[in-house]
Amino acid sequence: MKRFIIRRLLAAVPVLLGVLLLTFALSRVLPDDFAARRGGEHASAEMLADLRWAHGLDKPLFVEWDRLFAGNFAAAFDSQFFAHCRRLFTLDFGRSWSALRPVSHMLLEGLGPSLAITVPVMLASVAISLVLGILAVFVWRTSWDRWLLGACTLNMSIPGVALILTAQYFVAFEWGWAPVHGWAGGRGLVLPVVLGVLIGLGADVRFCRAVLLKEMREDFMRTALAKGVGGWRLCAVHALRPALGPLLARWLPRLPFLLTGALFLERIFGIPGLGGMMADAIAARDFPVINVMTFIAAMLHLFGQSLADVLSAWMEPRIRIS
Amino acid sequence: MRQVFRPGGWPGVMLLVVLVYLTAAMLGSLGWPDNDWTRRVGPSFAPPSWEHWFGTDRLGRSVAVKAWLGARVSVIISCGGAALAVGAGVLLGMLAGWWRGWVDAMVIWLCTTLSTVPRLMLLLALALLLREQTVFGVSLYGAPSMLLALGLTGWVGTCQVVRAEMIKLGTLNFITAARALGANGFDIARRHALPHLTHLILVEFGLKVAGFIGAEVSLSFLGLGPADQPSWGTMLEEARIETAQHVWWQMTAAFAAVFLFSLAVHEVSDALRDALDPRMSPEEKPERQ
Repeated sequence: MKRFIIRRLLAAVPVLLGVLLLTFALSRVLPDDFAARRGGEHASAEMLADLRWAHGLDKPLFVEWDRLFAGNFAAAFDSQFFAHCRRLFTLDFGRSWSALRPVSHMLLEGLGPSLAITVPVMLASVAISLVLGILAVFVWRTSWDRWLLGACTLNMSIPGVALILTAQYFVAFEWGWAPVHGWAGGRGLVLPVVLGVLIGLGADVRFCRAVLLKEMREDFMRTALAKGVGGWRLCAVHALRPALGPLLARWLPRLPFLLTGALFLERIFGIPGLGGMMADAIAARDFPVINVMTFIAAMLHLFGQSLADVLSAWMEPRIRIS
Repeated sequence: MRQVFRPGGWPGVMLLVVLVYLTAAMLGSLGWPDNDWTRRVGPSFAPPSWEHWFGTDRLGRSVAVKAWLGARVSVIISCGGAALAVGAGVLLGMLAGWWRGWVDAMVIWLCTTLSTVPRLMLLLALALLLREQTVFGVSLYGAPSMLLALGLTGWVGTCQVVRAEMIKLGTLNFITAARALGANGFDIARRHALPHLTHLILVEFGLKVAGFIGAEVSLSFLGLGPADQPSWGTMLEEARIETAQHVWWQMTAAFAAVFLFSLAVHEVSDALRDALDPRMSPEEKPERQ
């Protein structure tokens, strides 16, 4: 088991490097000349050069080849890419280019509102889709199953944005059942959380149903049925256990959702969370914020995926051996 | 297949709906029913009536015409983006599955890296980046940038599926026989492997189109859509402000248009998968009439 964990962690390293390269490339390839943008139209050449020096943009992109060949390794790797990586790993997130505030402060401020929405959404989604998936196994091959699948398809066909807007208009604005804006106290969170759960539900229920049905056809289920295990225990205990592997592999890598998943909800309901911050940063080419958010999201995804793999290997010994 | 899509059944109806939307996109390009969607046809914010079926928006433009013409943007972006994504995915998947070794490792690394970064962030960043570019004298502002962004990030799932299938095919005897007869990789891929991948490609294409319709609406809503053509996403964005004045018809029109199209494409691709996928057991497929 330990060897598997080490192998899995080592396999994550190239992916991490890839993510760092991707974030670096995306931000550096953006066609703006950052210094010209910050300096404005009337900036002199000296001011531009000063701005570039201040933000480390005068260094070479990856490696300074002359110094490398001269044997001066420490100075050779004094480049933008390595500075980028070093800052990320020492949690030195810098300042936002548009808000001019430390990114870590912005992160901490946005964390509360975002988590207040995304944590309930994630927990409720998992619980409801599991329950509905088990229910689907019970009603399999009856007309209820067709209705359930039809409802799932309907759910998957509605774009999230459209649902949020329509619900906000009718439920909050016209009928007044929930506040239209903001997150003052608990009441303002009810509608966003309900909508967040509804948006991803169809696909998740179909997946749970498919995974559980696959397990139901296995030989050990027939044995359990012959032994007299029936109904609820059969589905929820015997079928669920081997199904947990694929289910965890689907849900654990969704950890980044906790931070940035509620983008549209936050935008439309005016909740000052991290998703909205990310969208604004991308529109404003605010590289430090984009950089940090992508890095954190990717790290969370990697962590979730590695955890899901390790847990699957722990539950299913055949995976460890292959 | 003909049985699945027979005229009386539900998938047949959905296929008809998809065809209606495709016709709407074509007719919209040709200028029917109204060549100039920016024309003022009535008072601002006129509610739905027999004269204006879906009312008018803030500038007095007909919402019904906008919704009709929005099909053009949606069809082009979703189908074009899906074609690009599936094409790239099939190509890379076949390369990885056939050559194995370091080519396989590179492709897997690319797949894993692209799937680690959250999809929406990657899409936003790429779309904003591509918007400013001009390729061969053609500006990428609006629809082309979204098409490219969706295509360049959406190939990962198809690639993994095709790669797995190629690895499986490579072990089969007829491929070994072809190699013994001297066929090179390209010939084998084209004449022997590709026919076995066709059902996968069709199913993946259907899934991608269904996914990209929603993605296009979301991206247009965030302001990345075309400015010179009406699109359902931009209609929703305008509706955000309008609804504060109890003007609900543009939102409803855009919602209904996207929902119907997305539902139809989902149903058609489900029916396609039921008809084409030989591996899924009959129990897992939902009951059809």
